[in-house]
Amino acid sequence: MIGASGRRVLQVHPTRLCNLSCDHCYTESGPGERTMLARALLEEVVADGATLGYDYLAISGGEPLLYPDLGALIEAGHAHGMTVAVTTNGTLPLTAQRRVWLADVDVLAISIDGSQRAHDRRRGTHAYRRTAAMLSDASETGHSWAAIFTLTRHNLDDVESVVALAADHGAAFVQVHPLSPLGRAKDTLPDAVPDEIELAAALVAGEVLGGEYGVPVLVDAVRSESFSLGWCDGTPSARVADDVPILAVMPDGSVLPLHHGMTRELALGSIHGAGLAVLAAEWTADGRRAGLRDLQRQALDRLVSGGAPRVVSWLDFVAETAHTGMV
Amino acid sequence: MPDMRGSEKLMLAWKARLTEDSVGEIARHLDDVPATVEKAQFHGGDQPSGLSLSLSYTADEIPYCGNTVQFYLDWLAKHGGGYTEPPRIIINGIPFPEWLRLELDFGRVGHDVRELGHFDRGLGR
Repeated sequence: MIGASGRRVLQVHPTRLCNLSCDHCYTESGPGERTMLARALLEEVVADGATLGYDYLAISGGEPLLYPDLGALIEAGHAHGMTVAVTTNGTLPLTAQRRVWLADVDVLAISIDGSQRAHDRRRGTHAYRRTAAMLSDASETGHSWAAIFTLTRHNLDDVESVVALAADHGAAFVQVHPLSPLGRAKDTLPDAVPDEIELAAALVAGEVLGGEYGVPVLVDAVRSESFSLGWCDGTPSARVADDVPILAVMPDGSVLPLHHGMTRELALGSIHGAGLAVLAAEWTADGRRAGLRDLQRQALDRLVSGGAPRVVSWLDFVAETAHTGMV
Repeated sequence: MPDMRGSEKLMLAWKARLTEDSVGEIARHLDDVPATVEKAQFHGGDQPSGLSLSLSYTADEIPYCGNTVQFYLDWLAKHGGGYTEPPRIIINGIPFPEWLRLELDFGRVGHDVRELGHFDRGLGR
């Protein structure tokens, strides 16, 4: 989840266990994926993440409500001064334990795929009803929540349903996140990744709908004319988080900068081998961090020089630039 | 329209959105037929994009449902923007039903629903 308002996001995937097997899942999560990252390991990751400058802990999965130590992870985030967000599919029953966990979360991000018909088609019969129950609960308790809509090439017309639902239930914002060609989507939805036309239309629709319904609609896309990376020209920041606004700890323990599809050549390593702070120090010392800055500069040059799409999902574009061998 | 671009569907919906004139046409038609409006629902927030109507006809009123179906098809051809939703017709018997219910969707219907607590036959005129 991209942090709003300049947040530095440590994104943690404690498990790939999920009650659903969505066709667009970039972590290929499902009911059969039972491996989990140990609580102690993740608590250390959170502590190290704080020293590296991360102030926003985004817990995803799999389905984080199936992670038995979710409460401890949330607590660890708060102990280190982080804002804590949990991204859920919203279809699990709200047990007493889950209510306790969620009460402690700063932002509850609920995935909603459009109208009831669209949502159930993707997540199963009655999924929308269960999700609506969770967000009604969030609304009634005054809990801060946000809707996350995965944009494909074919579903922009469904976003209004989500914005209307968000407005009706007091959501803080709606995030429109373009489908990435990763994980399960690579095989099941090869032609569904939104192109610049859909991204441009999404930017416009987001502005219009946000104004109509009175809830911010944040579209994860940028126009080439409006993008700049001024920090790339200056001296590297002392803090890793300033160069790498999103750091993802994957379910297998690997640590990837910026994007789940980032080339492994620029990965920091695995938390099973060393602590996050050690990995970050080595990553800086051996030049991979500088390589990431160079990659982003190359991606920006590619974006503004013509020939590239005029509107892109920036992080997808950076990862794609790496894979085209421009590093 | 599973393979159509989302932006294309959105453009069709925009073209099919309700306007004051298009809603006025519906209201004027309802004045001309003896149908009873059982339910009217606007869809789409403060600027409605769709209207669902449920109309009932009984006994001698029933033949007038044909006028309404014709009006509905003409309205879709003029304002529909590409969408064509078939009318849903419910009857209580054959060959001569005692009552008939006609369910019609004007414009873009399907997302969040605002139910009218009291139906104003003028539909906001």
